[in-house]
Amino acid sequence: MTVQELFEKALHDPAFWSELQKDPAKAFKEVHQKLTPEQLKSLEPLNYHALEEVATAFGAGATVGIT
Amino acid sequence: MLRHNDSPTLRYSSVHDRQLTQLVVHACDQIQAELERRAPSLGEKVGGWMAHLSPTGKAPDYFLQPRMFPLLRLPLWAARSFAAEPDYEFLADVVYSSVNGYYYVRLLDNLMDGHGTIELKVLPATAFFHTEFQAMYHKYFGAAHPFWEIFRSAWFSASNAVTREIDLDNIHQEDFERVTVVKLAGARIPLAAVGFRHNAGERLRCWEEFTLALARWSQMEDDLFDWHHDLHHGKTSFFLTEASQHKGFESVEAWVIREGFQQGIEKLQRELSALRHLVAGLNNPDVVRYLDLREAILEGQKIRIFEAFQVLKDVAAITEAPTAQTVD
Repeated sequence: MTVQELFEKALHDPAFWSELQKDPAKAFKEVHQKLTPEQLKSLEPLNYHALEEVATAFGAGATVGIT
Repeated sequence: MLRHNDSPTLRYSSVHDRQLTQLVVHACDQIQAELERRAPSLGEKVGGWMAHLSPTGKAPDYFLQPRMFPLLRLPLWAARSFAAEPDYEFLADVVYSSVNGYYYVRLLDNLMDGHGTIELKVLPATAFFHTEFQAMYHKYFGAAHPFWEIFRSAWFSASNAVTREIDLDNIHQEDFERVTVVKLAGARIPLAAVGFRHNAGERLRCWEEFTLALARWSQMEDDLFDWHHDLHHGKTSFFLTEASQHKGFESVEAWVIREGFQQGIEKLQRELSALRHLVAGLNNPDVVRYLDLREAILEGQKIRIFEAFQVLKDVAAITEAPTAQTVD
């Protein structure tokens, strides 16, 4: 999955990241991608909670507007 | 909506003072009361729109967000530097005027940007907002007072800049300085009023210079954090123009995540440091505290967003590996 697709998921698909933390194989199967055991292991230690900031900083209506 | 995770304590203790809160609450209440009295059907809809803009659903909180350009704070800070005992009745009127002026611009801006939700239905409120924005100053400045030349100059040049920006397909550095930043010239109006009221003379010039520089910085910040929203709404900005020039074969999103956001935030940090050079002539500790807070907010966002982007890059690197198989 590209970084662009992942960014869009960080903004609009919190369920994907939630599933990724619980069951990465299932999360990627749902987007039609099968990962190797090595890939699944590499995904385990990542801090997915950090991604909440993406929606906070760049989500719809994030701007306070100055004009 | 706030774009950061700062605690309410930080938000409401560092920048805010009780006096500003009271003035803003009073201004919003006054708008609502005037509308209910003079245009009740409009008032009901406008009240809903004002609440809708606010992250808490309470209209005053919209203006009290620390990341918002300090349109309402600047006149208070300036007044305190011009006079040991500022004219607080006048300042209450200035805040009321500025809140109306802000809503006037917000309403039109949301419609022009295509952000509008109920804006079309409350468009007639522009008559109310503009009248209240301007009429307050008639109490203090006669028709021949030099304040009105500043009012016209600032207000019309801002309107002209908004019109020019609509026609731009890209915003390069020169466009940003000559068009985008000029949209913010209206911020000079309440400041000039405070200067005349308190006989600030030449001291006003330092405040005008700082206000326009801060407005410029705030616009850069908005461009950076709104990049995705702007991109998906077909709106150009200085940051997106830079992105299109530097991204090569990448998507804008990939460029922003790889280096664009980092470059943007480092530029904001440099520009914020430069703003501090203008503070010396203002004789006001509130401004220093405000810049300190903005610097802290920015640094916090930088750390959190870099961490988030690193996770995205890591997941992409892992899952883009050639061993991955597509499932039917």
